[in-house]
Amino acid sequence: MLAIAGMMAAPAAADSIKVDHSLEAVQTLATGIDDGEADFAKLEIRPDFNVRFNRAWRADVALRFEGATGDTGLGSVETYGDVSRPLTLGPDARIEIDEATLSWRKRSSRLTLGKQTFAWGVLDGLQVTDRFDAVRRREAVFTEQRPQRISKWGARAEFNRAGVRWDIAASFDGTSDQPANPGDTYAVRAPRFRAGVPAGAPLPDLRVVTPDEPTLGIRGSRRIGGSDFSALVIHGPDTEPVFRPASTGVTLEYDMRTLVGATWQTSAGARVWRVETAWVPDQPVNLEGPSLATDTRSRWLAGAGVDWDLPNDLFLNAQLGVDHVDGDELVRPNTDVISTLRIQRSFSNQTWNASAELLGSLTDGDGTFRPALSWQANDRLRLQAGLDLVWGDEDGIFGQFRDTDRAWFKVRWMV
Amino acid sequence: MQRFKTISLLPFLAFSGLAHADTSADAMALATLVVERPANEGRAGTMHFQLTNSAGRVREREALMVHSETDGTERIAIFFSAPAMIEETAFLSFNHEMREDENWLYLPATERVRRLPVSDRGDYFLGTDLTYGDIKDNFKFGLEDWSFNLDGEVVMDGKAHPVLTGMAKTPEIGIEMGYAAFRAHIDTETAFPVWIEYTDTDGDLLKRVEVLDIKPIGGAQTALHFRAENLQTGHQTDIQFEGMRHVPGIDESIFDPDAMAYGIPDVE
Repeated sequence: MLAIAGMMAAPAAADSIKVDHSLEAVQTLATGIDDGEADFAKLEIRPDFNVRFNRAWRADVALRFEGATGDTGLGSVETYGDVSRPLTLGPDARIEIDEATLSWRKRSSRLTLGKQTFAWGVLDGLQVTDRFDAVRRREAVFTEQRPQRISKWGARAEFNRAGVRWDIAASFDGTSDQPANPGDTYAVRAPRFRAGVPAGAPLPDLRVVTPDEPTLGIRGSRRIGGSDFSALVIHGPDTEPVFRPASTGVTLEYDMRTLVGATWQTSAGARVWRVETAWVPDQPVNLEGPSLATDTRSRWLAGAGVDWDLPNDLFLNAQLGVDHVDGDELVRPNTDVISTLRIQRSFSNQTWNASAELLGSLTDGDGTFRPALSWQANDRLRLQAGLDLVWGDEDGIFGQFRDTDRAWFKVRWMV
Repeated sequence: MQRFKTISLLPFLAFSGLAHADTSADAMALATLVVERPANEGRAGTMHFQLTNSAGRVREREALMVHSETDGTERIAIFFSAPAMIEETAFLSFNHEMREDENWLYLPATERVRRLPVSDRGDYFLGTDLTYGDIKDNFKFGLEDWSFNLDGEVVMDGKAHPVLTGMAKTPEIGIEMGYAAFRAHIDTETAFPVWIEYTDTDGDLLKRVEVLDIKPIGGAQTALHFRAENLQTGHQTDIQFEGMRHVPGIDESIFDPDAMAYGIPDVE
């Protein structure tokens, strides 16, 4: 407590305080290509403030005001911990704290207290070791950035000791992955995400049991030549739920699990190679059958990817991920193999950017293709447009959203 | 308006006592003078970018640039502070003498420091009209890349400058650099090329670079204002440094890739 009090007192002695702020507004419009199910309009306004008290101390606050119409919605708030839950302004509008931190830095060391994210891992969107944060899944994978992290209250220390970069994190709020609300466009349909309940069959009343236990993590990394290595351990509630029967309906519970992982990345000329692997010895899972039985199984995750800087300003990112859970009677397949391919090119001094993304499950044969074009009209305004096209069986990771093909348009304004 | 006129003779050669030497040797001596121009081991300043397209639309950038050169590695860190859309984006480059270069990028939206592929020298730097090679070369012409020659001298703003020309030594080097040839006016007092025109690998005029302000910073001549214009697209990049200063013994933690996510550092 004394240490925290000392930290809080230090900014008061600041000699030169600098205040900075920005405001970002993003308007997204989407229209369903098939039957209009994906029609959607969303407005996000994100004010951001930071105060630099001196060379060492800094405070950051970022808020998110959101309003939406259409069936896509803003996602469930039931999976937030009490201290993190957004303030809802009716069913289609809410205010959320994205960041509220006080940080101290000296040379390569930093201590951060408050509501923050903990971005680990080296792959893009494939979460192998990047499993400390809770993630927004209200629009499934159909977002500009993946994963979309949800900040949690906690503490983080980053420093170098004995030639190793240490990153120690503790989070004390029980926020878990944010799903879409039942009935929304991107509400999960595949049985694997519904404890085996078939697509189309109604789910019983669900009640989220927010975990009380903290999430703890430690990562050590080291740079050797042109390569980076890291090893990490995360212990805490899983961010994905298991379904359990309750006296009335079904509860979604987030059991404790431990993840042990490692990453490696290296640059080799025009390419950067990235590899991650993780082992969860006690992964909570649902089993097949009417009783919503659960068990813990051994889970292996691995992924590899390459960034490739090609001639003519072309950039390619290709990744392959494997997710394996041991044992029988799972509501999910034992092994998922996911591939991602992204190619993009900028034009006219990076004012235009064309990209195409292909995500697919090699085990299920489903996937999505997402071409997009963006134009930086000026320093404050960016216009973007694209398509999200989905195919596959309704039991698949991507195929469950096969009726949600959409065209979208986004205006981003920032000062 | 043309600021200079060409003079066919080479009276400048008296500067190095090479007036009677072989022309290509004189050219190499001039190129070496430029290459061996002293540089500070550490410096920092605020960069103001102005990017203007052919229609006259202007985009502006502001960034803290920190540079150091120790133990055979040149380090350049650029922390953007404006506009808001790219605020706190940071780019870090290590140019190693003995091994492959390394680049990192921190994008606040992704919340991670990302190791980047090493760009080709001919790739353009962050939407400007300067290539990564231009940034790395710091207004020098690599002796291993070019075959040099002299082509008289010009008078610019009342001052005579020898004209150094260069041809890429091989087509492959030309493709890698994005330039097949150049023509430069050299200020022999500062050892800076103050005017350069580059030709692309198709033999077409590609780009003009003008160094508009040079001042000694910590004893080393430093370009504080320069302009690059793509003559094929009409796009132009104007870069001015403010508060450029020599920072001896610069804090090397500024160049720690992991610390890029901490925000814009204060440089003592």
